[in-house]
Amino acid sequence: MTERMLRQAKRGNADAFIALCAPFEGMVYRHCLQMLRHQADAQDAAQETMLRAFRSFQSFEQRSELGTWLFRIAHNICLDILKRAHRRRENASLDALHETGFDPPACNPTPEDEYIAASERDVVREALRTLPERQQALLSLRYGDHMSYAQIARAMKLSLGTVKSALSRAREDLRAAVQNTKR
Amino acid sequence: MKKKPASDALDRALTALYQTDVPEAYKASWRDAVKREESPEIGRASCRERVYGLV
Repeated sequence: MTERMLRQAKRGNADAFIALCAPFEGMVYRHCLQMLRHQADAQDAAQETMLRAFRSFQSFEQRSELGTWLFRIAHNICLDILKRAHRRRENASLDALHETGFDPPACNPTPEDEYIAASERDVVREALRTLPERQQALLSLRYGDHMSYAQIARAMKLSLGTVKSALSRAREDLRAAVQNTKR
Repeated sequence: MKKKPASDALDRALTALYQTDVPEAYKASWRDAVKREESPEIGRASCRERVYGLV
């Protein structure tokens, strides 16, 4: 992340913004998918994340990390979507739903979900939610995008040592959180 | 049978959890949306910069 690109992106240059944020597009999408559990919604939310980040990029402080900042925006957008969906479900009376023939989305897990629920994956997913945003972002880049430590360091504008220690700490914290979730 | 270290299980679980294809449509659409959002003045300046190394 060069200072020049940052300056250009802050002035509203789309190409510079895209170059800076592209390494995080997968992380943003995966987080939206994990929160919303719906591909099309996740795609919309992830796009909205990037657009909102572009519009407010002037407020991005270089002290914070771009990946963590994007992660936070994505998280908040998904929370808003979930809250709106929850309110809509609460407001709609059951009678009205029957009259219109509307079939609310089933909360029943799909066969795949049932399979996942029986596995370690679900426990890890729950445990991940308890980690700080920065740790979740780092783990997503490492395990989702298969970035090397050096690539993460470049994208997050961190030193190699910081990335290594932060990831090591994230894994330790996750392991502890998994143990707590299992209890 | 030798028990595998816990970190291996954690690695596998993380890899499985994050194993998601990122849709190409999304990759293209957020770039297009950002480009559309860019003000025309900035876009022109950006183009001059690419062509002439100005700005």
